Amino acid sequence: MKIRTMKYFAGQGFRGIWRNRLMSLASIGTIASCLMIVGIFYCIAVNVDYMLETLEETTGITVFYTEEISEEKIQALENRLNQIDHIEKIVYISPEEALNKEKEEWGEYGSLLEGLENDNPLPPSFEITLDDIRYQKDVIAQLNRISGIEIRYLEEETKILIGFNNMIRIISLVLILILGFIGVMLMDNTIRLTVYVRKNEINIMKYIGATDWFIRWPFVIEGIIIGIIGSILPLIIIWFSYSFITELIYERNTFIQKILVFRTTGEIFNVLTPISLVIGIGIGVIGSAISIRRYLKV
Amino acid sequence: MIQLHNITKIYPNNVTALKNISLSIEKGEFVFIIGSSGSGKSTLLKLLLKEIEPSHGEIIINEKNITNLRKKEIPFLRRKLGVVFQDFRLLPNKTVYENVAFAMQIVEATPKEIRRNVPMVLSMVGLAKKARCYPNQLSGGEQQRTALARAIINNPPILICDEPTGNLDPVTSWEIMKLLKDINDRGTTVIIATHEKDIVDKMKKRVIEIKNGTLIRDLPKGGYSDED
Repeated sequence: MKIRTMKYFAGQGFRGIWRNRLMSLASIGTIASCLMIVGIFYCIAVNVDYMLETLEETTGITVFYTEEISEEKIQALENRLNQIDHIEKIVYISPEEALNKEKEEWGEYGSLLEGLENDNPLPPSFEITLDDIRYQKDVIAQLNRISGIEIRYLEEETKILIGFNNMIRIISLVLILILGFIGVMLMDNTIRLTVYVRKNEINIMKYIGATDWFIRWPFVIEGIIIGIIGSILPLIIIWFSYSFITELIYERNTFIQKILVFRTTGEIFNVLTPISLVIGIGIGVIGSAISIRRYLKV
Repeated sequence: MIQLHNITKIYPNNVTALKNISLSIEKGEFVFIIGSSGSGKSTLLKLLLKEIEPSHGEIIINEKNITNLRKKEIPFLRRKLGVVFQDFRLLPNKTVYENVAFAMQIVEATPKEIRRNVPMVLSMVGLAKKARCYPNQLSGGEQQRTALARAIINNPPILICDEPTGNLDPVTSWEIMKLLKDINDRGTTVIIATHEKDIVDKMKKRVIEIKNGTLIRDLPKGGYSDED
């Protein structure tokens, strides 16, 4: 395609948008709200993922016997643990230490635990720290082969976070599908109006011998332009609000920084920008393609 | 240049518009196709432009059988056929110059070619001074001249006119006919569908008459009716 022809198509595309400002605005609005939701959910999902990672890295595995056990057996267990790869540190916690820890955690209610010293229900345990969180699964698998012990690691918490993450993914997928559908419908309407306005022109073009694609391109470009505007708007809004919100949280709550860790705005937008543009332009092009097929019998 | 072999056109509502028409038009001819409204004239022109398909028969244009032309090739067929309509069909938001230049843009002519050819053709049809006018600032005759300029700007070998003087007064009609004659003199095959007796009689050109979808007369230098 020649450059001047492309210029002509682009000019026609912009003219089409301007001619049906209202419908174009509606289409841009739908694509923008669709991508706004995509963006918000993406930010949440990415950060939940990130917090999950951080959480995993700061916690270890606890191993203890389910029944009362002799000193020898504890020693034997420690020896076996030492043979497992990727274990960096093993700390033995006696029932007394465990009880003291509980008391500390119970705080002012700690006195309720008084008197348990003689009949301590807490088993002796080992706290294991890994050299690399990535091997957690392997280590757990090896620990599972040892009979009579129970393994505790942040399974529940991890499960909750993963569940939350999955829920967000499903909700965002459903919302994207619904809004994408509405977006395509509105695009179809917008382009149909442009086609209608340019009915005579198209007719004349056909008589003069314009190829089908020569007639189609301006409408495709109209869709692309609407898609680009529709994706850039939410990106700008999310950029400013994300930076603002994360900074606000960091400033106000310095103490929760260890749990509430956020990806930087740059990291988010490295991925979100291409995703938004692809979805936005995709909706724009699909909408206009449907319209061209149906109303522009070239 | 144009051959029709046993062309029959039956519309989906079972109306037979053309019945078994065969005719041949040579390069450089000037042909009137006459007949009353509903005789099948327009159907014939639409078949040539490949707007509709014949039910039976074959059409050959420029030694090419267009009956089974692929959809993609239709635009390139139409570039060989300049078209002028009774209602001009100009773009109202474009000037005379732009309307004509538009036809060149569509076939992807260079800006240089456009700047050279458009003024040339406009002065040929006598509209050099009206280049910056919009269609609604022009008289009917001037609008038809613009349409004519647009139809011939890409040098088509064949010019098809559907009632070109239908909306014009007699004086203006003659001006348009004279222009069509000039275009024909330069070698372009001109085919005109009309029912204007006066013009057909005075031009003394080939006349093809269609009545109720049947070709009833084909005379090399005929008049509008047999009596002449």
